[in-house]
Amino acid sequence: MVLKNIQRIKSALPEVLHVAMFYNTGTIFQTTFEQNINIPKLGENLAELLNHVKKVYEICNFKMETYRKFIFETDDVSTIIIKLGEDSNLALFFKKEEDKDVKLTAIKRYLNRIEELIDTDETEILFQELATREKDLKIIEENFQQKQQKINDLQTQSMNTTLSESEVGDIKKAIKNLEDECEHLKQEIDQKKLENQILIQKIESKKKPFNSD
Amino acid sequence: MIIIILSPFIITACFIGVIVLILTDKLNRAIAALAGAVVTYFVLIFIENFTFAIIVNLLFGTQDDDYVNLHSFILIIAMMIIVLISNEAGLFQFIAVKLIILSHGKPIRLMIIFCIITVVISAVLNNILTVIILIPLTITISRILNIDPTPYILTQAVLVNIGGTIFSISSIPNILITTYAKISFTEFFLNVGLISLIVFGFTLIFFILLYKKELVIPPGGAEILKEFDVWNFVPNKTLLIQSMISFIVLITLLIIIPSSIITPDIIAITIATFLMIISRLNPKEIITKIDLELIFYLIGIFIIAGAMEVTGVTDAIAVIMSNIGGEDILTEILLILWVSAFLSSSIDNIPITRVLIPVIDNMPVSNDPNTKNLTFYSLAIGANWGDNLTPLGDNILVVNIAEQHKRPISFKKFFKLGFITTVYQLTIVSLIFILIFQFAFGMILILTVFLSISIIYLLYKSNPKTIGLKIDKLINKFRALIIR
Repeated sequence: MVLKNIQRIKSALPEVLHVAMFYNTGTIFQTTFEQNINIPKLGENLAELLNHVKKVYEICNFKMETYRKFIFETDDVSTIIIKLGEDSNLALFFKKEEDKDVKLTAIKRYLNRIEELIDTDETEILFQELATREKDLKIIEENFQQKQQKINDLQTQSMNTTLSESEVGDIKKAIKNLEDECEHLKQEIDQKKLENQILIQKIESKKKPFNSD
Repeated sequence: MIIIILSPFIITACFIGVIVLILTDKLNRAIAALAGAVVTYFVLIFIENFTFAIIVNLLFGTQDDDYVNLHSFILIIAMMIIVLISNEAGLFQFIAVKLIILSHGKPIRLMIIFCIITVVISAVLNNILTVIILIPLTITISRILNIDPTPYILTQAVLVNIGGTIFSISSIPNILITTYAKISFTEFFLNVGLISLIVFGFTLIFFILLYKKELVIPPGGAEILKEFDVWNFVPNKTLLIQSMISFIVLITLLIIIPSSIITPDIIAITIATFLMIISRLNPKEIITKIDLELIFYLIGIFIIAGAMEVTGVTDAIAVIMSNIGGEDILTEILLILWVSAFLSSSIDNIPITRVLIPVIDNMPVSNDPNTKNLTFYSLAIGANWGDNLTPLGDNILVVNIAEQHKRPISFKKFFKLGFITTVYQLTIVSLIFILIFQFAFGMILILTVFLSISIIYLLYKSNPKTIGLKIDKLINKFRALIIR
């Protein structure tokens, strides 16, 4: 459970005062802060903080695709905000102790798990869409093959010399209809393949820019 | 002669100009409306030779019409205050997440809950605030559940408008209509609110049939969802309870106190003031958050639309609409429904409603006291629901919010779903009106639809391998046409 992870982080690092998992919208998913703290405002301000830093980067013309961590130290408390998933973050509030650097390695092992749990990356959704589309494509391809098979059968049947002229005519008409349908299906298959290709390219371009470290 | 035509011409041009400026996003809507009001002032004073009193009358109403516009202003401001404080208390997010957790991660149940939440919240909030609260929340939930939020966002965006017709206080057009026509809170709910709920039921069935194959939730997400601490939305429990009680008291008082004794705006402003005092929030903060842009916009629209009334423009539109509709009440009501819906699809529904109210009042159909209110109900439904016929107006906001949260949805998908659903909803309402006025004909129509569906179902069941397969294919094609 996520909450357990939050508690584990806190117990693994005694100097951690509080932990807050929040989304870029300012919504706090979980926190160790008590209800006497204005939690919605905390989330709102943490999200705003990240936005402001992003704006500072923009003003300075610094390139910033995404951030990894944000550190803010004061005499008593240090704050570290770590990027979790596509839209989620983890804020850690540390008790400041002399000559002690904050060791992030202890919490690193929890981060990937939390990220997986509370924040699905957009690429995951694109993968799901690709799977659905490929399923649809497979059905159309099967339909296409069935019709092709039917055309072959009818062509063999039309060779039969015992058939009357009108029967042969009917078969030819049916073949023509099936060929038209196949043509239509072929176009649909090509179109779907093209769309899937575009989706694959989109997934490639959205690969995660970094891993938490 | 020229002077007689000049004023209506300038004022109509002014109204159209304001609409075009807003539609093309060339000027802020409040500034555009105020600019139009300034032009109107000069026309009324220097061409029509009115005194300044006319502006006061247009803004606040007169003793004869019982200061209808002033009542609207008070009710709008009071609702804004109650909603602002409740939003500060996290009331809407709290209720929404509490209900979402009840879905236990079951996809169809989640879809139903999302739809219900949308209608419930938009029944008390305006559409913009509803989507600002709900869309990011939906995306957050989708991140936890590992699902694509698109079907949920699209259905919410469409259903926001249905919620807007549940109560007389649910949207600005409703407030304008009910204040003008003196329709009580209960009367509005029993006539428009219940129709909206029926149509909501049909829309929900339509959405479930449309998306049932798309709605798959990977295992595990539901357990994580339970870990979402809903109290994280609440700054303090006392404020949450206070705002909940305020809403309950407001609705109760609106139901039990007749507007002839205390008008709805006075009830609402009393509760708003009381809530401001007991909430202990900084009043300055609340007051600065009041949507002044909307107030200025309404001031401008009230003056322009009132001037259209004074100079006879609305009478002329009423004559044209009456000529199209003929003498038949049903035709007139259906005309109002569809015309107001299509007009509000591209033009903001506030000016449309404000202009159409006197137009409808001047139509011969409104002379009959038994049917007069039906025309206003028809206007309320058309003006509120028409918005979804195009992905313009408030719907642009939905697309923008989804994009900001890295879950973009296409205009094309929005347009297809919005247009088809709105036509479907307006058709159901039209059927209800037909049943009211021509019961036998309405029943024949309903039975025909029911019979057709039954025949298709029987054919499907009798021969699943041939006819059934073809029907399946057709249904899938239709589904793909809307959602792909």
